Amino acid sequence: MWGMRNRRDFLRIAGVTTAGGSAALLAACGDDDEGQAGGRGTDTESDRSDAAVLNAALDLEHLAVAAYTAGAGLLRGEARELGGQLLAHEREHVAGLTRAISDLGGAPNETKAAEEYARMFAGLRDQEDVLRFALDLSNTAVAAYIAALPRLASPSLRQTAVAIMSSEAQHISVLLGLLGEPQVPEAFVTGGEA
Amino acid sequence: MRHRATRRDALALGLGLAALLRAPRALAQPEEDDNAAVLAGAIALEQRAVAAYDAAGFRAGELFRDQSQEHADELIAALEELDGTPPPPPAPTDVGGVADLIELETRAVATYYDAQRTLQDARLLQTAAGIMANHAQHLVVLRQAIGENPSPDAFVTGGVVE
Repeated sequence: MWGMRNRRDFLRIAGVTTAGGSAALLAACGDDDEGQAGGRGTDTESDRSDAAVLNAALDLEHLAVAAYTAGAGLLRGEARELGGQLLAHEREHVAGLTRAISDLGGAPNETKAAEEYARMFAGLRDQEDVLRFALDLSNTAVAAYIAALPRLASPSLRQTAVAIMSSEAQHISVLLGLLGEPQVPEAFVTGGEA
Repeated sequence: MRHRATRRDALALGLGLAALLRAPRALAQPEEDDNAAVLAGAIALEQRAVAAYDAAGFRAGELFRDQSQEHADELIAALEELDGTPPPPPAPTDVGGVADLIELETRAVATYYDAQRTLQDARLLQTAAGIMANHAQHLVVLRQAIGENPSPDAFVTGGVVE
């Protein structure tokens, strides 16, 4: 399994370990820690803050697209079929977040160069490596969206975020099933397993 | 077969949540009342899920029942912190099979999706999201049990279309 240091090393390289991903989202929102959703600052300030939060999430989604693309050749049978579907979802997440950031007047982050991602995926040797890497990415994404929710001023953007987060939670169950593990291990899905 | 829930479904369940969500913000109750109303509706739905899984005899039903009970317990504690009164547990329910469970889980997802628009408290927003994601995962297992696509949508809303 993995045939490399460990999965966290790769996520760390990407700057998206669970804590790091969440921290990046929080940093994107400044020091506001009042614990209340919405009602912060002017519309322009709120839009700018929301765009920063969504851009941090967009980075994760770009990484997920790159990971599923890089790993596709190692998947077989049902895993290949479902992997293709999850990749399509990740692309839709990228498109949705890109559109939302643009609507806020922000500049959506671009995907990284292929060679930057390739360095992260060099240790993927077989199907299980790919599934476990994807599992960690989805857990990281769930944790990041959980952290982001109270920071988003716009109720409709909170809904967008939670709709993507629930999609990532479904990916977790699909991937756990492919790995032969319990598919719904926790009553409260926080991404903390990553 | 697809199971699409709408806010109208939630209203039909007697949750009162849909009416709350449609209310103009200018007429909305104070923040704590909004939070309490959402929690009361969600508790009723979780209790309904517990009763449904008790009756269903589905393979993973015991786990999903226990998880729904965990949700209800957490939400009841949160509601009581707001001095609210939890709804009484529902009467035993007749569940026709996995398709009915899918419909119930889809309604749960839609309820928590809508709640993101109404809840004002940061901790409650995150709790609701964690529960919503768990119900979304239940849907994966239920769909696989009847040979459906386990994760058909990139944006999981419970069928709510804004």
